[in-house]
Amino acid sequence: MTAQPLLDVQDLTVEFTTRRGIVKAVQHVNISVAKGETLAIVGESGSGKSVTSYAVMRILDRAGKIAEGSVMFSGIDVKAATENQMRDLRGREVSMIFQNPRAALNPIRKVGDQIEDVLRTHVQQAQVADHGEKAIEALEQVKIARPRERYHAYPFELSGGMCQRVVIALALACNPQLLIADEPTTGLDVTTQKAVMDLIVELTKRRAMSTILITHDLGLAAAYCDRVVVMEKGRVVETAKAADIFANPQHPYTKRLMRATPRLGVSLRDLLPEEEGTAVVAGLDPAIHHTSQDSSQSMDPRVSPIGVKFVLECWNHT
Amino acid sequence: MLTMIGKRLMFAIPSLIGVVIVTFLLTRALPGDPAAYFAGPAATKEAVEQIRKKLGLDKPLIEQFFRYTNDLAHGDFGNSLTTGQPVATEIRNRLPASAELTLLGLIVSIAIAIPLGVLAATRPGSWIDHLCRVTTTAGVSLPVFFTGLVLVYVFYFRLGWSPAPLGRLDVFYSAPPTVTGFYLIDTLLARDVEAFRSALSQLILPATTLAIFSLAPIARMTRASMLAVLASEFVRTARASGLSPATVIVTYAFRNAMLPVITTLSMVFSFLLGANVLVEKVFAWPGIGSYAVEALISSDFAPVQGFVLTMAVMYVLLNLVIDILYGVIDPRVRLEG
Repeated sequence: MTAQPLLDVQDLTVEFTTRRGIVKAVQHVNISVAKGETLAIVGESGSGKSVTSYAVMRILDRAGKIAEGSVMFSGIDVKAATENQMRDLRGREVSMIFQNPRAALNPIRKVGDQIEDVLRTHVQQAQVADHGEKAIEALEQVKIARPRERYHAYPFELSGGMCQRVVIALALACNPQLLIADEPTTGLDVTTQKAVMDLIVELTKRRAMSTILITHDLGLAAAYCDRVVVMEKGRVVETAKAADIFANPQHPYTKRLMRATPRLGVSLRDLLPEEEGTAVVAGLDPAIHHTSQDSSQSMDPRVSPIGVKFVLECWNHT
Repeated sequence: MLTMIGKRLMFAIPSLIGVVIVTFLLTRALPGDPAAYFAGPAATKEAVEQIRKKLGLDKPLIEQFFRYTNDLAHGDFGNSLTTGQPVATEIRNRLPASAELTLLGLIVSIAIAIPLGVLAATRPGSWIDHLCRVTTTAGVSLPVFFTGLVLVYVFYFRLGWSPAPLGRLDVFYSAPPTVTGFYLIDTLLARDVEAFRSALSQLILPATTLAIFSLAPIARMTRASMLAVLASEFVRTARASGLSPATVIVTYAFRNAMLPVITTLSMVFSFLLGANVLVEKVFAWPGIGSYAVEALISSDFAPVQGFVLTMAVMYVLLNLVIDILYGVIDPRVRLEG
């Protein structure tokens, strides 16, 4: 790690004002990404991974705000920056790839035009001869065959994997320093998933870009990232090198998360009761802890209903 | 595109045939005997019979129907019994008056409602959002004849800003030579600025009445649809790419939000055609709405049938325009067409 990280998130707390009061989606999170580093943020849904990344780009919903802490991106204080400064950063210095690529693209605009919109916003006319040509180039870089024709395609005319390539082209069009990939492979079939991940890694490595990969898939994080941050209920519970965390997970939640990951040779039924076993998890409400729901699930007296719920959520996810 | 238009027109033929049959039967089923009506209260039974025979009303229903459709095929809508004029001519003369009024009302309404809805959606909770809510609630709860009467009372009777609600032009001006039938356009073509001003001042109140009526659904739909689109994932992508708020709102959000708004527009336009009947009555507007009402009261079949048929054709054309607009905005529709 270099002395000056590209992205430095310190003590970040994000709050959402809802009808039922203030919800702290992310609490006291510390994350740093060095230049050229690939970081994974792993956690189940609702753990605050996406909210953290939205806070970094300051694209939280109207109801959400950075309540505490600081986000420094290559010397710029994201919390204090003006909206104009932020707009200049987004797409040019920090880009984002979203899950569900088809929904992430404007359904009634040609994909080429959408890439061109980004180029037009960030690249001056003087620097490039033709934004259209540059957009075609961007499509070519994400290995879309016949980019000149595909420029005129609408998202509904492309497959899911193809749409995700377009989204990647869109995100990388201006050569940003940091790419945030928010569950980039969710909703794609397995073979496409690998192709998309390989493409992201290849392109970001070639440009010496930093990447944050947000995922619930530990396998994905292990295969592609240098470091892993594990989040649970809005807090970071463990940060470690990817190799270390899988060889020797420290936090009980990480261990459970690893055991909840489906692997070859392990049926889903076997995954279920293995989940539990550890009692105290940071941020766990002790009140829920004692209300047993279905103790017949396991003979192990230490099993907590939280564990059962946790598994169910994981199931919904995969 | 042309094949799509042709196809849609083909689809319209069965519904038009249906309209012809239904209006024919409906007018026959209405209470009231036109022969008795025209013979007058003092007429003898023989006189009524004679008129009935003359009108062809003594023939069996099926024969009457075939005579009617045969005439229609020759462009003959029959004659009005009250005015003695051919229905086709009268409708041709009166339709532009109604169309001018309706279109102006709709344009005014769109010009206010769409910006209002967009602003309300982009600034939820602001004063403009509240203004939008109040206007739309007021708009739906006020019936057109009431708004019309209030406007006449305030702006003509009390303030004296508007001319008397007595038709399309002040009596001092003569109607411009007919080119389009729209006085606003025809007076300008005739370079008659004074008459143009008069026509416009006559139009303002009834058009406003229609606009207030149609404002609510359009503004409401624009707001709701903008809110939905602004929360969608591709708008987030656009924001995350650093696009300017103008690009995000216009190119990304607004164009997508327009699709349901256009559907609403077509519905509102059909409501307006109906609401016209009342507004024309209040403002003594010589349109087809008031023509149809008068004919209906006097059991005058031919104008009523002509009116309903004209409306049906207009609905068909309107839906065609909407379909084309949809195709222009949404490439997915273009593919199906």
